[in-house]
Amino acid sequence: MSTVAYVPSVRSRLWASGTSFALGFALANYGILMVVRPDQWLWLAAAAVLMLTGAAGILFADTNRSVSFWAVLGLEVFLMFTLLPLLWTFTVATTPADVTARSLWPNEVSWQTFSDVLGSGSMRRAALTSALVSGVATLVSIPLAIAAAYALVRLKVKGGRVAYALVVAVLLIPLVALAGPIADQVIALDRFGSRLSLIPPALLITLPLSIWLFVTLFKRAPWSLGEAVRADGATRRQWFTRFVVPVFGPGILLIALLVFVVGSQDYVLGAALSTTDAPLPASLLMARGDLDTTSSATIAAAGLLWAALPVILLLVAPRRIHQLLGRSYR
Amino acid sequence: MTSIELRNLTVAGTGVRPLLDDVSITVPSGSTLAIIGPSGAGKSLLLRVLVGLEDQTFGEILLDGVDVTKSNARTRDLSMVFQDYSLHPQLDAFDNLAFSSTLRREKAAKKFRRGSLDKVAISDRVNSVSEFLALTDLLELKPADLDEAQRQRVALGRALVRDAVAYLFDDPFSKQAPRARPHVRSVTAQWQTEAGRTSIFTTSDIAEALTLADRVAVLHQGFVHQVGTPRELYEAPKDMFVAGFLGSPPMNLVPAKPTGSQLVMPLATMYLDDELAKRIGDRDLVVVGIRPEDCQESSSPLAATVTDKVEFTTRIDDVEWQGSTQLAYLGYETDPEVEARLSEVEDLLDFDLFQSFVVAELAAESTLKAGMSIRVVIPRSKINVFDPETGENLSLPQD
Repeated sequence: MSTVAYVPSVRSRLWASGTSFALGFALANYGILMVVRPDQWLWLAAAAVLMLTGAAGILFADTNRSVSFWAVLGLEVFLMFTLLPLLWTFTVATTPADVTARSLWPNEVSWQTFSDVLGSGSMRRAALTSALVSGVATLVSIPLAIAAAYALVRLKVKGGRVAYALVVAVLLIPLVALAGPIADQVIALDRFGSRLSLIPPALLITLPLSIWLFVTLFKRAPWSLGEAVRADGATRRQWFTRFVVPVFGPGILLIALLVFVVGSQDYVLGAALSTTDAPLPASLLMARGDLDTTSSATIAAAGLLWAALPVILLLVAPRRIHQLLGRSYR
Repeated sequence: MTSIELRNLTVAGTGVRPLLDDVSITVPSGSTLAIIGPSGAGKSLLLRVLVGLEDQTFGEILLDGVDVTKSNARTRDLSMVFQDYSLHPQLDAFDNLAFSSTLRREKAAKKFRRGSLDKVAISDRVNSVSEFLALTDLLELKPADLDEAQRQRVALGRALVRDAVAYLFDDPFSKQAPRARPHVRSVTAQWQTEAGRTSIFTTSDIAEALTLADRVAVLHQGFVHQVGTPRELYEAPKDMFVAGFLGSPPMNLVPAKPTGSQLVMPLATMYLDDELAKRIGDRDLVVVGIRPEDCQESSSPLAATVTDKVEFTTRIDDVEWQGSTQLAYLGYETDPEVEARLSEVEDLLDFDLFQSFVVAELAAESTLKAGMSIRVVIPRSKINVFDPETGENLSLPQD
């Protein structure tokens, strides 16, 4: 991290201001002419934010604050593209069953669908399948991944680089390519459609991911501190309780949670390995729309509930997640 | 308190040269030894082997005469300051300072069923150590909130708080601000001396080693070139490396050809007495070592008092005025064949010893300018003569 703050040039800031102002202006005009209330307010709010960004960009153009208005504009556009679909999902989920949602902004909010989903037997079973499969796969992967990452980072094993490259390659391989052959294997073993048969393929997702995360964790770990604790005269037990647990404990816990969440979001393997009458993973259930009702509200509600898990995780430990994903975020 | 003795300590490396080469050093109880050498000399490795983190290939380590070569770090009970501080990121400065003390007391407390550790005593010591290291106001901060120099002082204090058999410091003052450094150094030394503690510290700062230590060991390429008091090392360097490494500016090392009873250097000629001539024998090339501060201007009052002297006149290439002194750079030419032999020696030592000029440190009063001609006087007794290949100091009286 450089200590000297980066100050963008006046020209770059003025261009950013101009761009965001023009975008805001266009958005406002379109909103006023083409969109009906209450969504019009959304358009106008977005336009106001963009135009204010433009004004701020001009006001701060000639100062040496280290803010880049291109970055601000990018962040705003990014937020619009992610938050608006989420808002639409929310609106669909909370619209009462006898009403059709016509605007982005929710007119009538009813929480009935959420309690329906939580009470739905198939949804519960699906969530259980996802949690069970991903949980077992995570529990199996964590110790294996710790051992593998330790060997890769600390022992400098021969061929370690190749092994690590393979791990990353598995992370990048589209699961769809492997789902067919795996399904054939499961059918050959006569285990098709059981929850158990989902677990070994789930390792395909959890194991490389956890190895990758543990390698980043171990590369940044203060190993010399462990030696210092040893030199201070720690017993094996003290070395574990006073060094390993405080230094690695939070990281291991967080990786386990991350891997669990990612594992439970999988639906490619679930789709390939499940029959309609067998317990489906939750993500697959949503994708197929095989819920008790055919209303899109139910699917939207289920999706929101399922998405809450990673969002909570991100809110609880944003700094550590950023560190694990290879960013220094302070 | 405790004496430390290293006998023939060797650590084999992956290359031809061992990382530690037959190191034998004795540190008497209650004294301070400084280990100096260029970076990569094996200073940190020596401390790591000593504290018990790294294994030696062979050799012995004795603490108070007891062989601890096979004991682990816990049994050896040495306190060490690590170069990278090794602070616990999750603990504040106070807990970091108290860490190693509580670690050991925990065990002892359980053993004697006292239930709790002696928290008051530990906290008293933490407070007094943090007071003299100027950490009192920082005790509640985590390492991430401290600056580099403060972190280093916490690491230093962590080792001082504990009651250990002996104390090892790996470059413990390097990150202190130049103005604060002497102070941190002296309070640390005072704390150690008052308790009669044995300490070994490494440093790449020669002045630090010379001021702080009772004895200094010069380590290079894993090999101990000389162990002695700072004065011994400075005034009677055993070999060319020690001579060239100590001092600032370093000793001038000039090639010279012995011809009969004379020693012909590029700028001057020196008469050899019988004894030195005998020791030089039939060598066709030697290296003459002259400390910059032993050079005098012939007109200066000091030069007049020197009777047995070497004199020469030359042109000044450059002058650096430094307030209290000034440095005159006096260039000379070297025979290409001699130069090739010298650079071979440098390659073997992996260290730059030779220059194509003599540096004279002269009184600041006289107005010297580049291009002026100068007459330099050197007391003959201050001149060292070295064998270029073995580095041995030929002007030292042989035992």
